[in-house]
Amino acid sequence: MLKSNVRPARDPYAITFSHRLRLIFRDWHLNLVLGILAIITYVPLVVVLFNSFKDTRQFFTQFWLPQWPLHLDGYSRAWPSISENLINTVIYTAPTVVITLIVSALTGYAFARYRFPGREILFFLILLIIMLPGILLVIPMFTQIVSWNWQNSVQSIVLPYSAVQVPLGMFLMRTFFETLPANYFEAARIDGANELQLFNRIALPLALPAFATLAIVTLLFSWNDIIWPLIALFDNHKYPISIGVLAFNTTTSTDYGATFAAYVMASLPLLLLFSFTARRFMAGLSGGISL
Amino acid sequence: MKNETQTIAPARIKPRVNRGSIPIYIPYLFLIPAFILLTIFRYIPAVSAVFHSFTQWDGTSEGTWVGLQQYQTAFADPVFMRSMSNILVYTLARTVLTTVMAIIGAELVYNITSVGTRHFWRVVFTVPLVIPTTVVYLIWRRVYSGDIGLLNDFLGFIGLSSLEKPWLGNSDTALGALIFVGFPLVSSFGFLVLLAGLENLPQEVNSAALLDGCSRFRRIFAIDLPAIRGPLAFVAILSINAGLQEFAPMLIMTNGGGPVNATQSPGLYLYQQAFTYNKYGYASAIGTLLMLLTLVFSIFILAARYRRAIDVEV
Repeated sequence: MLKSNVRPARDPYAITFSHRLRLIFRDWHLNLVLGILAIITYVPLVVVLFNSFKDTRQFFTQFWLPQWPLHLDGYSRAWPSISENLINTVIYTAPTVVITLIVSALTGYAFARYRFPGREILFFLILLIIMLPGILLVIPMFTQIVSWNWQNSVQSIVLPYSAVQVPLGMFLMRTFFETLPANYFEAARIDGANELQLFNRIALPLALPAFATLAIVTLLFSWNDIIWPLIALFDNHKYPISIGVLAFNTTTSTDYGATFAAYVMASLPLLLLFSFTARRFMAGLSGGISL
Repeated sequence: MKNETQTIAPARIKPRVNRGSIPIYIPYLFLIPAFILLTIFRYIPAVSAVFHSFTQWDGTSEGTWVGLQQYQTAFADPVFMRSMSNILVYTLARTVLTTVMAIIGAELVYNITSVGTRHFWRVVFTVPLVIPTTVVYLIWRRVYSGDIGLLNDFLGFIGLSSLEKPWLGNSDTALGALIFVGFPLVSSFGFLVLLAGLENLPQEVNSAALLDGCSRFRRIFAIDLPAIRGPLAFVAILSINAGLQEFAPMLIMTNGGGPVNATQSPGLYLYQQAFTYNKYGYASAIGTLLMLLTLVFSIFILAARYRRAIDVEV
């Protein structure tokens, strides 16, 4: 009896479809401006994608829109050298990311969770590095790796890259570790955990979002840098992708299909990776970075 | 009586991390790996570079001490002076442009009510970040190109064909063209950092401002921007530091600082002096001047940021 009288209560806070539409419409001017900005951002990229499927004759007819038939041979012509460069980049990038994550986490943790003599001075010393122009250090570092006979080696790229990224990573990790409630650590300490266990079992698992952000920032840096590989590497077959795509622009500059296909292939791995990690990357930044 | 002790007691509970039970050396153990790495690949090279800026050095021997001679050469070198004025213009314009566009983008997204739409725009403007910068420069070289260029084509399309020119080949427009690479620059690391900073602000302040009749525009300048000055300082310092040692766009887009040094930068000039002409001492002097410039800018920004912020911890 009672049951028939009581209608299922509507959740007053549920967001219905019409409500969602109203929200979008209410901010239509904001969305419009953002839409225009997005279009300007994406047009050059989309045009490159279109042109990667054209042969040279099609490219010279017009370059804004795609044209049929699609030519895939640009990709097959660019693949041999691009694949070599991509493999090199992965060889340099993977250890750089691992080292940067470990060292940054340790350093950021120490600054976020401990008070100790000299803390401010040591922190300032690391802050100083962020303000140090990397290009200044290139010359002594070059003579250094030559004296160690490290030219063309993986460590000549990986270790300096990690050193570049650690100060920024330390900042990111410190900000993140500071947001963790002190109670977690107090509780674990009362339960008898030692300092390394606090770091390993509590701080690190909670830091995964920040790790994702730092990993992507480091990844981007080591994919993008061209100065140091140009100096430290003498062998064309050791060049990373950031230098590899430059070769297309000069030696085969008339082969537009292959050139644009090379640009697309150089961008695709990170685009794919990012599509899987976008949420984590942005979650790690949500704690914010501040000076 | 009982009540009094209760009110006094909570005041003593302070989140102190180091209670004295931890051995004093523990925090330093955490710092060892970083300082080993940084000493070998940052501190020693920095000291070495500054030292060698006072020498005549070809990279092989130890170099001979020449005092301030390299600096005198630098200040008398018209190409170097041109590169310095170029990079000052480039860095200031680029920093203002990227920061303003990041603020505009972040505020636009922040003011949207729907959480889903906010997330959508955040993803839209993060995706282009992962395209390799070399590829971005090469694409923008194509955008500015004189014969088959997107910009010229677009200008012709909207009836402004009189403005068409080879943007990078013209010494009047080349530096400006480099400044606008990647326009509209909403898609940037700064955008993400500032948006995260805004979204961490307590929402009560916005509600209070709204109740007090504060318009959105006034709120941006009166509340939002002062509240995110920490992230803003971070973004500005990174941008200035990157701008002052910029090297890649000049190398890739204007064939090494052309036309006629119109886009020559100290970073590129240092690279050419060291690795083309083996003038390591002179290159080190250029780098040291660049470092001094970077430090001056950074200190200026930090001073501006901490001028009134007594309440914010470092």
